[in-house]
Amino acid sequence: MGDNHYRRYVAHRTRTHPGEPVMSERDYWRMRYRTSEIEPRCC
Amino acid sequence: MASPPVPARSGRLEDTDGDITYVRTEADLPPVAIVDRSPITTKHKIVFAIIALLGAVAWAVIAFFRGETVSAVWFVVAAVCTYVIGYRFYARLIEMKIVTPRDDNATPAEVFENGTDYMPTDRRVLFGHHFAAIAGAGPLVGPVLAMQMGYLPGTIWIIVGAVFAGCVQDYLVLSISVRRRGRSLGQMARDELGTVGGVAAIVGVLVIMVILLAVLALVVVGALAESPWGVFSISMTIPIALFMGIYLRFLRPGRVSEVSLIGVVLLLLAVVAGGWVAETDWGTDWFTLSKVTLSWCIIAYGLAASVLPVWLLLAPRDYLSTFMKVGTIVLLAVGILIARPVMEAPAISTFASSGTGPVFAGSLFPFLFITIACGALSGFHSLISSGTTPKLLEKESQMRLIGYGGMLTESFVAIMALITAAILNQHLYFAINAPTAQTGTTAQTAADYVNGLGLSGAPITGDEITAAAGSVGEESIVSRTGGAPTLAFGMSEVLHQVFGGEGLKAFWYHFAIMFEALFILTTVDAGTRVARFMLSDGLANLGGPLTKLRNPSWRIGAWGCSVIVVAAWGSILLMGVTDPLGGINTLFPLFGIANQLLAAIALTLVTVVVIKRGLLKWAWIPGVPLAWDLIVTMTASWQKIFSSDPKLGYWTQHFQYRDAKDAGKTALGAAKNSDQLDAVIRNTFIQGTLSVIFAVLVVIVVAAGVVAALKAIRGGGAPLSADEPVPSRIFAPSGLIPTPAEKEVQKQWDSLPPGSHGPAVRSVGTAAH
Repeated sequence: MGDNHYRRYVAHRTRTHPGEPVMSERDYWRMRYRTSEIEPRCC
Repeated sequence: MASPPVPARSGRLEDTDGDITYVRTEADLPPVAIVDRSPITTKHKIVFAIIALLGAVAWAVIAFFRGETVSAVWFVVAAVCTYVIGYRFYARLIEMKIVTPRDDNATPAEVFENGTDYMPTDRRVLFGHHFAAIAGAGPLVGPVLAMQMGYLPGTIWIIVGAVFAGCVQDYLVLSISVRRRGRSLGQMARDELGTVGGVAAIVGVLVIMVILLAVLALVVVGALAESPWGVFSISMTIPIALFMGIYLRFLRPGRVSEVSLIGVVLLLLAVVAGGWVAETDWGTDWFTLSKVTLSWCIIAYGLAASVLPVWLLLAPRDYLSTFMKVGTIVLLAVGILIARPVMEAPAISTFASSGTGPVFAGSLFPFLFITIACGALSGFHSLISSGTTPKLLEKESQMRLIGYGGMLTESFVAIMALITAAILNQHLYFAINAPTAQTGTTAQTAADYVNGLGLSGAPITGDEITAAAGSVGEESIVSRTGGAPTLAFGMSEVLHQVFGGEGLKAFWYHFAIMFEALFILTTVDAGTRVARFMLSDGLANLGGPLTKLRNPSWRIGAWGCSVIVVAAWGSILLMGVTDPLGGINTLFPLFGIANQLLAAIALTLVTVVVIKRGLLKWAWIPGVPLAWDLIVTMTASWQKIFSSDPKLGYWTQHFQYRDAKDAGKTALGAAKNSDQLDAVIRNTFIQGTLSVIFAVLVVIVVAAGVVAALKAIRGGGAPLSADEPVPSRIFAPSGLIPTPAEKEVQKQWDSLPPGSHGPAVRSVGTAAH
């Protein structure tokens, strides 16, 4: 349901941009809700 | 033992061990793909033979056994056995001949992984995610309404239709979108069918979406009108969602499961509290709302949800409805298996051939296949299969589980809905589902009406209808059309036998109403927002000052598009609730046709891609369901537009009422005064016009598809737009249960030091977050 999304994001950042600061969980979720598109729900 | 690794195409290394080939994309990493060519074992042959035999017995019982003792368990057995055989053999054939998954190529989720919307997700989690996105009220409501034809035609179409049409569509749309960076259906239509076909497809999707939202909202209104208990519990979901949104943003960000559990507990409390509130005078005063008032509430809600921040209302409601959806469906399956109810409905009713049923007009062909849309073949799934799911998929070989398997699960939900409607007393079923114009709104007139229908079984009395309403805590259940109340009634019938006894019957009824309304409203709010983005995208493409609409943070544009979308479905909703002819029975066929036409667009696209790939020999796999779907929808559209029977043809009805008005009459049929006469004239005009628009758009898309296919067969035409593959650097099992070889490879990956490996990275098209 998304519980591990922040952990995955941190892992992804540390792998692709090692040594750079990683945003906090609070900011991560703010960014998620701001940028992610809403997916349609079916009938 | 294993032969030494040999370099294969473009740097891939292959190890072959017996029938199994391990593919590596880098020499120092474990394999990323396993190609298993082992023949089927004797043990499996025997197992599948037994399953097939059991399924055949169950089908025989359903189809040929007459009497009052056909148990619901046979339906479950027939469905599950057919699904297992279909998944193991037919889906496998499609996989081998058309999809040909390549696990050594990275999926869009891996290539563009950004830790936010592109994220390789465990196949079991993604299965749940995909299922929650495709399953909604459609598979629950359609089979209930179609019960007026008897249980047999619906059962056959839901199961066979899913295996050969619905699952094929979902699976193949997913497979072509995965090879195109997760592009949406509309974008792919433009790429593969050319500009005209593409534009028609995009406009079609938008118009069809509007009718979907209107009809689903109409179902909710039908379930909640004059029911203070239902209205109270549903309105409580809004403060609950707001609380969850604030909790997730400010108190404990990211604790999605935790807050959803809290939300579900609050929701159950709201259902219980609804019973107390409905017994008080103020509760009845406040929460007994008419259909028109309720419609305005839903319209206001849709508008608010479309412009409010996602984190505040939409996202938490979505979490809540996902939990409820999966939980309730499991509960119902357990209930049916334990309670083992028997069928009350006939196998095939007289309405199947006469076409004069009160729930919806028209005979079995084509209207059964229009009414049961979701559950057998649903065009809307192509919107999920393209776009969202590809961005989360780990491995191409998992598409069979997600795409084909996800739709099988939805088909199973539809079978359970069918069972809950079939176990109801038939007189009661028609009392609930016939429009007020026939039942006359009181229990006694309804009893007189249904007793005159010539149904099997003992006639019903007005008192019995009132008692049935009382048993679920409602004043009346006469003409509670739309399917949701019938399903809730059937569910309370099943669930109270297993959980809680008579005392909990009213609770289960309102629990079921809440569960349906919750995810219909989730579809309405998410759908409004999605349609708003589609509209602003489409308008922005027109150029000029409208280009400004590309910027999603331009508030005026967002508001303007939201208002247009809401006004479009809101006006159809209001038209439906005030329709003298009943609303749901005139609009539901339009909804079904719209959904099936969207499936025609998706299947056309898939068929064209299959032909372009040179697989003409296998084009029948999507081609046959496409042909069937076109025959059904075009016949239905034809009848709705041209039928001379006023009950069936919108235009005949339109002219009949207009002639009456011109002749100076002030009443005709169900229209009791001149206002109602005008309403019928207006509504039939709108419905007739929409039928024409849908049909024309789909004819354009299919024609564009035929042109593209013919060009491809002749050896010319535009090339395919699939992307260049990128080598994968992750591994994951294909099916639900990992094979021994997959477990072995997984162990090798797990033993690598953390951080030493990771997915293929190419930062094209995604912003760095």
